[in-house]
Amino acid sequence: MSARINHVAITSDLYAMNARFYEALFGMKTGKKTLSPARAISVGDGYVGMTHIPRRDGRTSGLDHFGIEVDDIEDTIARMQKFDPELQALKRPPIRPYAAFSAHDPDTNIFDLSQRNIGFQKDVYADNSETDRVQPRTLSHIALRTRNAERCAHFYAEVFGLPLLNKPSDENYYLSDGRMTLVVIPWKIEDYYGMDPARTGLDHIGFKVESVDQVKKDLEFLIGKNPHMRGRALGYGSEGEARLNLFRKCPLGCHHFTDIEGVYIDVANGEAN
Amino acid sequence: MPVRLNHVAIASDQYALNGRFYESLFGMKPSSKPRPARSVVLGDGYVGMNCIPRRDGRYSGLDHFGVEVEDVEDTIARIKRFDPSLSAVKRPPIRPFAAYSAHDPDTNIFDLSAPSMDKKDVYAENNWSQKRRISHIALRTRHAERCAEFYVEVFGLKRLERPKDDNHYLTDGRMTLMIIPWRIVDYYAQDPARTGLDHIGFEVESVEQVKQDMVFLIGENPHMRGRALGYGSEGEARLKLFQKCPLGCFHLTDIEGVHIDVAEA
Repeated sequence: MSARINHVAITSDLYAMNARFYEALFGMKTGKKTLSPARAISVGDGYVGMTHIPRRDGRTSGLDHFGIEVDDIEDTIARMQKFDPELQALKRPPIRPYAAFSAHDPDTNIFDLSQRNIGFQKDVYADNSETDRVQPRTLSHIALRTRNAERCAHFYAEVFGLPLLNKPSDENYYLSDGRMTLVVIPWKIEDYYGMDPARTGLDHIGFKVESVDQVKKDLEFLIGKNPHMRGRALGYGSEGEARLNLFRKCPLGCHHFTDIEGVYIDVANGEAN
Repeated sequence: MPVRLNHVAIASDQYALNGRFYESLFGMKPSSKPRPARSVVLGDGYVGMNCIPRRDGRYSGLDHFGVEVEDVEDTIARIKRFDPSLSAVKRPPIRPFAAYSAHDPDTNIFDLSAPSMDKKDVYAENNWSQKRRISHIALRTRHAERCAEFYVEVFGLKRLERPKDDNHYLTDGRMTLMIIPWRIVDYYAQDPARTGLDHIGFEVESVEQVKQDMVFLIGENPHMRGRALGYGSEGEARLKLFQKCPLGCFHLTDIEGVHIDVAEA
């Protein structure tokens, strides 16, 4: 069983511009055969596909869900139900480029399930499964902040066979597919002193880059060329500072900013995968 | 123990425009002492609605609700008695409504306030009646029954006898908190939505008049138009799920995309 954490989705009213942001700053690429221009935009780093979804009525915007590619979806759903018989999965509309099913963990965090080599995947997800392209800036981790972090970490370890990594002494759980890390952070309302409490769910994404300094320079250059490439203000005022301090506790990133939608991104120097 | 479900908050990049929408269509009133750099705070005489500027790293949309209680400390003690693993956090003093934020067993966040607090904005003024007012807040959550027990035991909200569905209807005597079971299988043919607040509802003097007012408003100002509802097979699936709420008969969204249903009082 070799699971790949290789999908992340962001919903946004500015989904088209947000996709351009990831193309421009991180060199992510659109697929060879993209879906209809009226639909979501998917970009990839050669391993992880990122889908920018037009925000729909009644839905929240921001970092929405992630996805795991498995060898056998039916077997994975059976493992989920063995872990907890109350957990269920849902078949997705066939137009989706990645997901065959959506499911959720014990804390109701939603993730997609996909299966490789059955001709289902489209757009960048089909390209990513053909050949893993190497590029200097790649997604390195997805962080999930949830109340029952330990139980959720065991869920991902048992159902997907993701090994738990030994990390520095913090309360987080780090699960790896060999390339991407899923960081499961305990959500505690006390952590939100001095700011509005955030709901549980996906917290941020992280990139490994060839040079953090070069990313900073590139970001300045991009904003100079196109002012719409500017993310959100971070760390302003006492509440902004409190939010940033909490975000900075993730040990996998050393420079912090947001995309156009306001999604938290941290970056760190690291070798390209 | 008199409690009031009297606060709802929406986070939005278009928070100011969204505030104007609720003022224009539902006649909600802003505070007499607004604080222009902060949230837009409106009221219907009972419920206060904060349209919050969306902050970095946060989601937009219907964000949280709030409950006014007689004694916040006593309420936190009741929360702990219900489940010792539940906790609360003190809020920054600048907030117009909340003294504390807390959460239910499914980690749905709500604010806590007390009449004795130094309230600001419409929360200090909310005591008028008007013909269009918020009637219910709907929460879609996985362990609906346990959450309903939580709100009954901790806040003393009363259960309403409602038609045969599997929702739980809790009332403070005026506002209804509707707790809907979240099941991933309900999202067939659409993207599954995360758990949390689902929609808000208004009681109005005339649904027909609301429809006419909406057309008029959009004619006056095209920015007053909400999201398209029911288009395509996925839009239809979303709308059908929304329409299952028996407390509303006409469905629309605000500028931010928050689902709203309305019904005649």
